[in-house]
Amino acid sequence: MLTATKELPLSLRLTEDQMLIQETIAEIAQKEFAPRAAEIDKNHRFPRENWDLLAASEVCGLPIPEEYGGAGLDHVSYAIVVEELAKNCATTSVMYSAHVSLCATPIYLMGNEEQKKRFLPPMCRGEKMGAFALSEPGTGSDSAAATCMATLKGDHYILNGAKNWITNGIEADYYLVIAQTDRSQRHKGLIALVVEKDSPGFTFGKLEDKLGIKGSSTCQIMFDNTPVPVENVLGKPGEGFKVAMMTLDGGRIGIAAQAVGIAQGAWDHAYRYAKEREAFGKTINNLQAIRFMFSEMQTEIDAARLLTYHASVAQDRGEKFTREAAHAKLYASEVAMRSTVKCVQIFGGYGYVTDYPAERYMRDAKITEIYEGTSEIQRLVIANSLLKE
Amino acid sequence: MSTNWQPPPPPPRPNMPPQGGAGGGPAPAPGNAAAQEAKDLSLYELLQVDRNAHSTIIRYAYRYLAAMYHPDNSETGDAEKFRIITDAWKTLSDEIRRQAYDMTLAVQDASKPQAAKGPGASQFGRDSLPKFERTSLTWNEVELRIAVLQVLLAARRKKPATGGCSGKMLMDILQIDDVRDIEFALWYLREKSMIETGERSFMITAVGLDYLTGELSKTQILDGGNTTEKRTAPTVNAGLPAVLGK
Repeated sequence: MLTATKELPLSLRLTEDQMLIQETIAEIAQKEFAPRAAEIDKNHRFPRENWDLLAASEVCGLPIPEEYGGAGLDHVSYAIVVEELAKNCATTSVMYSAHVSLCATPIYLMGNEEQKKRFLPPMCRGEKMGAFALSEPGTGSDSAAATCMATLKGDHYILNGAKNWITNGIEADYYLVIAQTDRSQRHKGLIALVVEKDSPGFTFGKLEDKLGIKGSSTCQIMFDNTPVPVENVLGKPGEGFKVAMMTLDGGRIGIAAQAVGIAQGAWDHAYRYAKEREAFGKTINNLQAIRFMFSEMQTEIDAARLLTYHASVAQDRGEKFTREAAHAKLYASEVAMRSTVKCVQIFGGYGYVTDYPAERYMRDAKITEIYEGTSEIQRLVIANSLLKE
Repeated sequence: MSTNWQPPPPPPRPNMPPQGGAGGGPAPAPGNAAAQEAKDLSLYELLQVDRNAHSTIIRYAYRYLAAMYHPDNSETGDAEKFRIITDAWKTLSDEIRRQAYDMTLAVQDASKPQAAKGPGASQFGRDSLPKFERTSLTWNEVELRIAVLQVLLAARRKKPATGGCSGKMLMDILQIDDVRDIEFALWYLREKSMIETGERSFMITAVGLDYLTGELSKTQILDGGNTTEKRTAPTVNAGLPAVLGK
């Protein structure tokens, strides 16, 4: 059997610390982030105040060890935090998960001691925000075809080219950029560099006007002869693809947790509405058609959450978790899309207007099927991992 | 197959004291030693939270530490430490007392400039508030009250329900470096019910707005006032830029 080769965490109980984190973040998110979420979405406003609050809550370096300024917690806790944020404000969860799993974690995993000491403490304190740049205008899933060039000149790499869909775009301070050193080498020529915001020749394109997660700052970044010191290279030159894949593995857990949060948040809203809304002489949560929808949704959401925790546990155990993360991301994002569509249906006409949050959750859910590897790429990753022998 | 897998060991809590200290070392520390140690730490450091931490975080941190140090806890109980963190909690859990305490901390920071400032001091909202130029070295007390009320009014007009400014923001906007320059005015305004204290911020009240309107109409700063009164106006606002005109 191909699939029964790994041990499964058969009884998954949260530890006391994990429950404490969950309670705390849930309460803060409900009190502070939920009331602003609709306004952020409407005005396409980047919620800097939410970031400040996360920094003051000391979660910006949650899975990073304490010696580098982080909280030294496990990845299940991280998934819990992302989920609680996404339940209330998807924009905030994207900002947070891009910072932690797409920038801070790869620096921790691939950086040398000097780089970790330099970059991580300010990131963990929330003074510096991270971003990750892999996709390009012409290359998305096929990252080995990157055309953003890094040319070594003395003790600097000179960057030229553009990167697309940068989450935390103009707001970030450190950008983990995957660039190409030799196009004929394809993925063996990639290099991972940390580019600082004020570097010369580093400019931003226009902010994207998106379907969902509208408050998140997404834009193109452009390099015109931007010098990056060789001290900022993560890993060895040529290891860029490895860094990118490792980053995405961790990032997918974040996206899965986010999808679970969006789905559960929409479910909670729909349930509150169903308990109040009357039709045919009773509240609609008594109608079988509605009850079945709630049951189906919660079954899928719980399954998605278990897959997410499963991947996080594998990551904490130091195993290769590429397939687990892909399972979780693929399933959770599709569950999020299915559930949020059902929630809009439960709201009926009110689900279609912006006075109620249902449509926002549906729009926010769609991105989870797209970024950090589309659902199709996840299927590819799973197939490659399952069927390689 | 799956039997020998153990869940990962419980992760350390953020900023937990080293296990030795938390477990109340081999020799029971005499109470006054703990008190001595506590003197050097701010209340935030005692509760192991960030200076800008949300009230929820402070509550959970206290609950966690209280359970650890409570004398009923046979393993880690420590009556003296329990008393110290409870005192800290009493101050930090009350928004007004916390605000006042923050101001004393700011005074302490000012007296030792190399002291590390709390990270991630909130920046939001400041750009949207009116900018004031300071005209003299210290504000005339009445001018200062009016200036404070004007800043708070601008914040409240943006968000009638919760709009306000923290003491730090007020000091930044009014370019006041020393907290003592503003502490008295805030005390006065609060005693007169012209401002109220919200979640980590000061907010203008209707009483304060009425007072402000009265003062400004006296001195002819309000838009559309008549010009005859202007000549007789006291010079209370002589140094204040015509911010309401903006």
